[in-house]
Order: sequence, then structure tokens, then C-alpha cells
Amino acid sequence: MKRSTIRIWFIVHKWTSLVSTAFLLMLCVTGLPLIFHDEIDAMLGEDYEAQLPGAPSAQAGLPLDAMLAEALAQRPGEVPLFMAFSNDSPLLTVTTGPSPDTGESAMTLLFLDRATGQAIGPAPDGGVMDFILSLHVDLFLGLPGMLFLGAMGLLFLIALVSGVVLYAPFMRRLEFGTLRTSRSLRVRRLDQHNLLGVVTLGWALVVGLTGVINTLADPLTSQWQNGELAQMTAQYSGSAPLDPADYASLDAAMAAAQDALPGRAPQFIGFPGGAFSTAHHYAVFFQGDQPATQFLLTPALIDARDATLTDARAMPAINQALMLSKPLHFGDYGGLALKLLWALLNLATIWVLWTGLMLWLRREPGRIERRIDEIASGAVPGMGRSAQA
Amino acid sequence: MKHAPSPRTAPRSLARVFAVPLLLLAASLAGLVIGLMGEGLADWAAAALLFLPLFAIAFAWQRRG
Repeated sequence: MKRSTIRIWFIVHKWTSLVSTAFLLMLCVTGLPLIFHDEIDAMLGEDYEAQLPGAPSAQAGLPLDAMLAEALAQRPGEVPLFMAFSNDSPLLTVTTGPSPDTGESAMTLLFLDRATGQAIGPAPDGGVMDFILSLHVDLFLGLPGMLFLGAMGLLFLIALVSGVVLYAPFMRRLEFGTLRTSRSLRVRRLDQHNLLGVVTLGWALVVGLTGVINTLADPLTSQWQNGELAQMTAQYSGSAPLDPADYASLDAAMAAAQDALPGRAPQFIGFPGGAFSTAHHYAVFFQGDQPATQFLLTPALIDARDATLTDARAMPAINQALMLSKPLHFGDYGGLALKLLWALLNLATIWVLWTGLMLWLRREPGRIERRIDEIASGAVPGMGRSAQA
Repeated sequence: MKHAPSPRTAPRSLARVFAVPLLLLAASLAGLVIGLMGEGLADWAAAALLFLPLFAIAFAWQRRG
């Protein structure tokens, strides 16, 4: 590789890393407890799923209309926004708000037991895990914060690619996995940075890329709502939004949806007026019927006035990619063994970030030429200099 | 140069430099996807494949120079 080419990649690697490192360290550190959020919730006694006996709410239980009435009794004067189901327990959640197009901050999440019909009360809010999650997702800044972290993720991906490009000339004369522990602190850090960086590359690329896609969740959902969903329901576009008092039976709507998409478990219902439906429809989102497609949701759109099917269609590829990006980013889809590996790979990534930062902080005057020499020559530090740096 | 760089070898081809990293990359990606495809056996296969990068670190650390 030509020296001038190495210089360009070196500068790209340095700046994409420097700009994003602080945020990536924050994401790695907050991500670590989030990997184990199920286990931590259970420890804090906030895992309602484990405590409820009975059939999963996605499969059986009391009528949905009765559950909805029970939920709305808790929040007089409010309207339903979402109802979500569990594959593991009778837990059923209902989200309510003052109006059909309520913003997230004014929503209330209620827990109910579909086996007994009892309300369990509002979801526990606040708490340290919620704080960590908000910091991780959007820095408490909403959509701008999400998009900003997405941009940091993009820089991370460029840093990964440029790091691999520099790895090639640097490692020409070194065996894979070389750790020169008898050398200077700088050389030792550099070897650790290169080894850990290159072995975790696949995981880091996937977690980085899916993280970036997840930051686009809101725009991608709006795009689907204004695009394909609007097309599917074009005949309703002229009519006024449906009054919540005129909503048809939810059980009849579910039956119509299950006729259209048989053999699948419902994951949630988006009520009229929200981000996942139209002003006139219940959107019943079903999981795929195979293990491989369980993360790919397909909506059945049910006219909320008379509970008849309007259309059921798979979502566009980009929205499917978004749905797959969630498990692939969180690492919560393969049991405890996968979570532990996720945590270890996360720690390895923290070490890559840390050693990278230290290599930059402990740099010397005139360093860039020597660093480029070192890479170009295949790990010979600075022309004619001894290696005590 | 005081140090005789012990693991130093003749320049290697790009294919040689990236042989192990590419293998680990493929194993990681396969593990991540296989884990999505199912439960039980698929989860264990995913874990085994994703363990390989960590094994490579342990192996390198064990034979560090």
C-alpha cells in the first residue's frame, strides 16, 4: 500500500474514532446492563411475566373487549392506543392516552392479567434501567438524540472499515494474534487494539449497523404509514377520523385478522390514529409462523367501525430490516449463553475503544509521520528510532 | 534497533494476513444469523460460533511474546 494511501486511511480512522469514541464508550457501558434487562428486572421483582400463571395472552384468555374495558376503567376519559400480547404469560398491556394521536410522553402503560381479567396496575416507571435505556437510545433528547447517536454509529462503522484497511499493511510481517508484551506500553496497546479489534469485527459491524438502523425506527415507521399503509387504505383517505365511541368489538376485529393471517401469534394492536395505523383501522400485527420469521411482523388492517378486513400485507424490506435489527442489536434472542457472549464482546469493544483513545492521548510530537512509517513498513516503529517510545 | 522483533516474518500476502480474521468474521456472522433462525440447537450453535473470537483472544494471550 502506498504511503499516501495509508496516510488517508490513518486520518480517516483517527477522526472517525475520535469524534465518536466518547459516545461509543457510553453506549457500550450502558449497553452492558441492558443486555441483561430481563434478568435484572426479575431480580428487582419487576418481572411480571414470571409471576403470572396461565395461558399466554397471545393465545388465549378472557375476551379482549373485557380486557380493554378493564384498562379504560383505570384511566377514565382516555382512549386506547396499543394493546400488546405475551407469548410466555397471561400478561397483556394496554397503552392509553388523552387522544388517539397522543405523544409518547402523555401515554400510560397498563399491565393486565388476561387469565383473571385483573388489572395489575400501571407499569413501573422510572428506575435505573429506564434511565440507562433512555441514555442509550436518545441521550434524553428524543428523535434528535436518536439520530445523533445514529450518526455516531455511522462513524463507528467507518472507523471499523478504516481500521481493517490499516490492519493489512501493519500485520504483513506479524503473525495473527501477535502480542509483543516485552515491548513499550504503546506497542502493547497497539497489539491489543489490533487483535481485539479484528477478532470482534463481525460482531461490531452487526451491532453497529443494526444500532444505526434502530435509530431510524421512527422515520421508517412514518414512511411506511405515509406510503404503503396509505395506499392499502386509500379508500378511507377522505373520511373523518373515527370517534373512539364508534370503535367496533376488538374480539371481532381479532377474529377477522386471524382469518386473514391464520396460525400466527398476535404481537400488538395499533389503535386508530396512532403511528402504526390509520385514523380508521385497528392494525393487528402478527409474528411470522416460523422460528426464523418470528421477528418479522405482518399487519392485518381491520376497519375499526365494522371489524371487517381491509388488507393484510407484509411490510416493505426496509421495515423488515428494522424488525430484524432489534434482536440483532440487543442480543436477547439466543438465551443466556448468547447474552454472556454479547457482554464479553462488548467488554472487548470497550478495550478497543480505550486502547485507541490511549494511543491518541499518549501521542508524541511529529508522531503522524512515524505512525505512517510504522504501518507502511509492517510494524517497524519509527524509522531508525529505538522502540522505547 | 535493539529489539530483534521475535515474531517477525517475511512479508505475507493479503490472503495470509486476513485468513484468520476472515474466518472469525464468517463464524461471527453465521452465529448471529443462526441464532435468529430457531431455538435450542440453533442457540447453542450460535453461541459456539460467537465464542470463536473470544477463543482467539485467549489463544493469543496464552502464547504472547
